[in-house]
Amino acid sequence: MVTVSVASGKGGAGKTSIAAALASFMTDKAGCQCVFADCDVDAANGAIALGSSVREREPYFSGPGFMIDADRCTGCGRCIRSCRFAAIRLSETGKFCTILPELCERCGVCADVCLEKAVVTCEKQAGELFVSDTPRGITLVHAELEPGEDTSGKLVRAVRERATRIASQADSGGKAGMDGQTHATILPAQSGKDDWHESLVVVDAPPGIGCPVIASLAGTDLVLLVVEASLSGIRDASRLVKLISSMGKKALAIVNKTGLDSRMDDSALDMLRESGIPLAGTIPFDTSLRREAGAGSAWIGIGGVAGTAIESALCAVSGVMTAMMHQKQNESGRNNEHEIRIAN
Amino acid sequence: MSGLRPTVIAVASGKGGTGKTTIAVHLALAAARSGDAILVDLDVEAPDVTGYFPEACEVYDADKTLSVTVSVPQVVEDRCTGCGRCARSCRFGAILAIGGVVTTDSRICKGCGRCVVNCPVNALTEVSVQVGTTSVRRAFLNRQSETSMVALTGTRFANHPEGTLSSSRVAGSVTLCLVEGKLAVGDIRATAVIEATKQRAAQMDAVFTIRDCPPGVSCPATHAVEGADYLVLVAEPTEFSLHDLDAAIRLAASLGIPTGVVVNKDGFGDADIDTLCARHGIPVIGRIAFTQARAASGAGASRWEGDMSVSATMIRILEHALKAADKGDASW
Repeated sequence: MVTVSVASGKGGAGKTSIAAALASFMTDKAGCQCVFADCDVDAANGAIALGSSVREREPYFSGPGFMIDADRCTGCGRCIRSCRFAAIRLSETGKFCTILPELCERCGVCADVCLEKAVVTCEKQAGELFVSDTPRGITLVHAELEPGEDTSGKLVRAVRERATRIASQADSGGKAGMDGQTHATILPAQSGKDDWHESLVVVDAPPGIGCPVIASLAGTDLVLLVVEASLSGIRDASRLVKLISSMGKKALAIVNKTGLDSRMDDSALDMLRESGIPLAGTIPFDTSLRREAGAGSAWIGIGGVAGTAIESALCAVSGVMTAMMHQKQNESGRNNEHEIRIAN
Repeated sequence: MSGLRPTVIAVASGKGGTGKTTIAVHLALAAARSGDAILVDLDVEAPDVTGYFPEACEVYDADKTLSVTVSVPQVVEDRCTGCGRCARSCRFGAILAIGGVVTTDSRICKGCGRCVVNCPVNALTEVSVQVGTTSVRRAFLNRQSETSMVALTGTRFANHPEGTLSSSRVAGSVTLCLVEGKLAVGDIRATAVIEATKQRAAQMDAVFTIRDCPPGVSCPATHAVEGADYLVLVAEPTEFSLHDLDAAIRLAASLGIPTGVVVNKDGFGDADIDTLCARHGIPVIGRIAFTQARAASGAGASRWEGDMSVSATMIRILEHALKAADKGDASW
């Protein structure tokens, strides 16, 4: 299994569209078994980009939160003084305290300091995790977070884990050559696409550089950096580049929406050159791509200047990914031989 | 005197890249020409407001850039008995107690202090770690270049002491203060930086506070929007944006903040924002048409100054926001 994370720093740079295009390209043209992990759980658009029907769904709980039982609370204010996040207020009557869920970090210190045991835990469903089928045969793992819920980093990890499990089941199924126990979580068999035993996980990362982004980049083999050719796009991408290099990740870049301002096109390329990140290609700003992105075509086979630019960039990415897959396949081959020798 | 209440307007979106920062910048420009205004960048993972004001300089105060810190525990080895109560109390997995040896991870600690409260032998002290910075810059704007908000100024500042208003003005020009929060690269404590930035902005006591919020609907977005009097959600007519706007509207409803939607890049796609808004009972309070020229100038983070249709739209949005914020509830 090889994992590539598509990230950009800035929102709206084209991450989801490019991630969907990459997964589709690797499925259609390189014959890979592909799992798409939509880790932008705040704004999950992978299902729109790829078109999908839900196969499995399960509730997601992020862990208990806290609330104050107004009947027990005496309004002494110990909890208010203990809370470092200013998330507890005294009611207008001054008789009891309440926790503001939008500011609460759920640390639970209030429960420890309360003399009346008035702080109680409450758990509600924070979201839902889905495994979906797509017309191209890409398995989509995605999630919807309830608005206002925290711990999106934790949900990202849940999406990643599920995607990895599906991909590695496909890997071991392929290697052992047995497909008998096809659970719902195993990739659909793809006829004529048996040249790869290494499956591919494409991770669509959220914008920014914070906790859910770090969770989306951890353990990935390659980062595909999408740089929007705009001042904000370049600024945000350079912060992401610092994160990528601090995590010691290999990266490859696509510059998106070129041709609007040639100074920005140049400065995006300069930034990449200075960071030592190789360029896979550039995609011009073209309003017709907008229509294609929502239409489930995933930008493959759409032709035109932009369509050709996209496929040429993806071809370069595919070359790097294929080399990584070969390497992994060789490594696992050696491991197998080693195991056989030990077994004998 | 209720008209003098400072107003905080948050600009958010759900989906990234719909034009939050651009709209926040132009709302702040319009607001600055009518009263004293600050523009607060709460998108601390990707702060881009200052890119729109290349001429802005940092204020000369000694404390122009401040560290944002959280207090993380440190084990006092002599006192620690290795009982592990601290590790069991930590909800963030930042403390490990294995075989009587306690180790703390300052990178994932939220600084809640619960471990310190729970230690029976006072074996935990706290040290500060930096998670980001806040800074203040000033931009001087040409006063004459835009229509002023006559109607707005008339209704809202009829009795406003001139001294306060003029404090932000230099003859013939207007000052806009930019407050920026920035998360340290590699850190996960964005909410601590957002709260510190909100606090620093609140101390400035501006009549108008415009907040540029992060994308999404989870903790950073919630913290950035919390406490605002009015929420402007920026959407574009695409399927992606439509899906994410729905989540953002539900977030606004759960926080009980009056909300309006601005359709940016109008005509860029054909997703039906209006029907979604109507279904939720949220007004569409402004539209900015998509043009290649606006997209091109947006790429370079140039302000659309002199674009009269944009300035007029911004004034309408501000008027709507002020009216709704004064009522305390506009949409539900």
